[in-house]
Amino acid sequence: MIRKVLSIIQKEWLDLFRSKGMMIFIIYIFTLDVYIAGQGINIDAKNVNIGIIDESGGSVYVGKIIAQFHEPEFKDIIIYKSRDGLYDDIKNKKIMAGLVFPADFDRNFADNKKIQIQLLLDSTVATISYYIYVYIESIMADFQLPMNLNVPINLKIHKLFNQNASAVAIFSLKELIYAVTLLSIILSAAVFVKEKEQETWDLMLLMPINSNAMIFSKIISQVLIINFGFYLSLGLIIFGVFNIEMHGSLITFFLLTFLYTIGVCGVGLFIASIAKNITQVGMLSMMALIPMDFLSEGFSPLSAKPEIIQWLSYLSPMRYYTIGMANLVFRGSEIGYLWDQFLGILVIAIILFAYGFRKIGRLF
Amino acid sequence: MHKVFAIIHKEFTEYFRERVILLTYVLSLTTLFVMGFGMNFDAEHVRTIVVDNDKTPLSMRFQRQFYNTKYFDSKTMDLSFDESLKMIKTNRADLLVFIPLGFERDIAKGDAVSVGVYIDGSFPIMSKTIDGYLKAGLQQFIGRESFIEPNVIVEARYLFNQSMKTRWAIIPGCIALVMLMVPAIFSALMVVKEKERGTIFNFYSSHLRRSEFILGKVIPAFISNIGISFMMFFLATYVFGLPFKGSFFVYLLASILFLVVGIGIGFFISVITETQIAAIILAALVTAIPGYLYSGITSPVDSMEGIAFYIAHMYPIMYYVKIMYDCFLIGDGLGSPNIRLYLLILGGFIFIIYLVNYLLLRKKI
Repeated sequence: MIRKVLSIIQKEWLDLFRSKGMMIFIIYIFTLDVYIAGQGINIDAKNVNIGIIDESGGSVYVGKIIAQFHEPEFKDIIIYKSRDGLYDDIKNKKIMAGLVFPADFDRNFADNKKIQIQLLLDSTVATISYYIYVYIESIMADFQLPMNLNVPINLKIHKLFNQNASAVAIFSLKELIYAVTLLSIILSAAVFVKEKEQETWDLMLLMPINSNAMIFSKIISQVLIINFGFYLSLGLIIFGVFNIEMHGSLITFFLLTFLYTIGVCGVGLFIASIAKNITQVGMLSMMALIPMDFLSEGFSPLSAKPEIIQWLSYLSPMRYYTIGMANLVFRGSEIGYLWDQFLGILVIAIILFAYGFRKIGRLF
Repeated sequence: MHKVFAIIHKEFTEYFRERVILLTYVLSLTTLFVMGFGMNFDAEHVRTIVVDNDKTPLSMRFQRQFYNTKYFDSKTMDLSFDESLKMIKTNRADLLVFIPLGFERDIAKGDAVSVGVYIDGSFPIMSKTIDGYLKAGLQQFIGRESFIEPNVIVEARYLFNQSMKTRWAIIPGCIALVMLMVPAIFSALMVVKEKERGTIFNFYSSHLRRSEFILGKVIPAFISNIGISFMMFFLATYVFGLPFKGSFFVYLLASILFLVVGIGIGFFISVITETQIAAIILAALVTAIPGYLYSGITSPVDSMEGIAFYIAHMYPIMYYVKIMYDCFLIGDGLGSPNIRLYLLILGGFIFIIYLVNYLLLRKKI
């Protein structure tokens, strides 16, 4: 029995290794692609061009405030004469924000009267414009301080596991998860549908091996490839190039990944049972992948998503994996706190496989 | 020309036989729905634990900053430092606030007090947003307790989206992603399918010219996919409630150009790959991920740095997203020189992609 299983695995690997293009893609996905994702995103308010209208006509205080807008957050400071010009340049994306200082700034400031400064923000860059707003508010707060007393309360903010709020770790790991999931679904569906398309299905039926063992060995051949790619990516890119610190146990992470890839191959098995050709495999895989992705922790925790999404997310195996990943890599939780993630993946895997085995098995 | 019609006829017959058109529309619909409803960068319902070691009227009032807001779901607990840190480490809390002993006394004396705040940094976007909320909250508190009356007030106005609805900011990017990903995956199999089945030899051995073959493949894909842009328009305006300030003509023109680009990318993948599986995976990768990164959904291209900035400009989605923002939220249309330039750039992409496709497509044995 074991020999039969091994020979099928060997056949599937041979199939894969023969296709040079496929090998190159798999290596690309696990290395360069993860690297680009980690590099590509910048969530900070950096290099912001800001426009200024000074209706006070050269106030000393305004000059002092403007002097606070420096690198790396701000790049060019452009002075405008009219609001129309400022507005147009925000529209044309020349600047991302505009500040309007009112006339009488100096006099009102000296008299301790209320002054309103208008801040115009480009809402099409949602998150960044909010950071700009917070940043400018804190510049204003600091500006007023020396005039008055010390602020009696200061917040000592610690961002645990990631003090600089760098996005490299989450984006590269998220990309790796995406790649693992995509490959698990498509490759496991394709090993079956390929046989339908190439009309080798009948040959497969003639093999002296029972259908369950056949399905199992085909799936496991793909699982091993994907896990190997995962180790490669983790070692080379995540820990190697990006130097991301692992706070939890690596073995547990491997175990969780292994279980997860098997579980997601269950989705592939399901797709294989309904798809007639590779085109349909592609479409159905994306149709499964995208909701799975958004019904999991992405760049914000699940608790920040609408309640209905939180409930639906229990159906997505990716939910358990992303939470497990963050717990292990960032928070360093011990295995005792991860049992619900393991259980979730296990239950979904069992259901999908039970269905897949019956449905594909019937085609034998 | 009748040769082209013959291929178009054959392609449509296959589409209907394989039911791919239906799948295409279902895929577009699910993608927009899941992204539109599922994506949220606002930090809301942050699971907060407040540990008050002072328990004085002032510290109670300080605590109140964390209650009755949509941002924080707060609990006040009596925990030691290690116990509460463990709550974050085991993912049962996102934020800890420690009010030190002597909070009221020290403030009354005029001494500075440090409030310890610990944020789960696993989600950098969220932790930065919380950082902002906290600073704003502290300003508020100080103002209310009138330690210092802030005189200079920053009044923020979000242009094009007054109430700062996240959905308005996200949907145009999502539409662009769908319009790139779906047609590319749809067309990624056009040629490689024939290679695998061996029917490509019909083309190799026929009088059919390369340009006719490309036209025969692209036209039916275009006709089957153009409906997506209409569907996206109706979903965005009716289901997601976005305004539509620009001209529909610009929307349609940009969508047509961008669709032809997307099909061209799919065709390119189809020409360079040898197996259908490889083509599908490649199409999903080169469209979904860079498409997402450079669509400006999470981060605007203008504030990218280094290589990423240049890659983003070499990738067509950025230009289309900007046109989408204009159509839905800004409404300058063809009056803006930038929009005219972006349309022209999309046209340039079509020229380059199809030139490359034409050169790569060889009648070889």
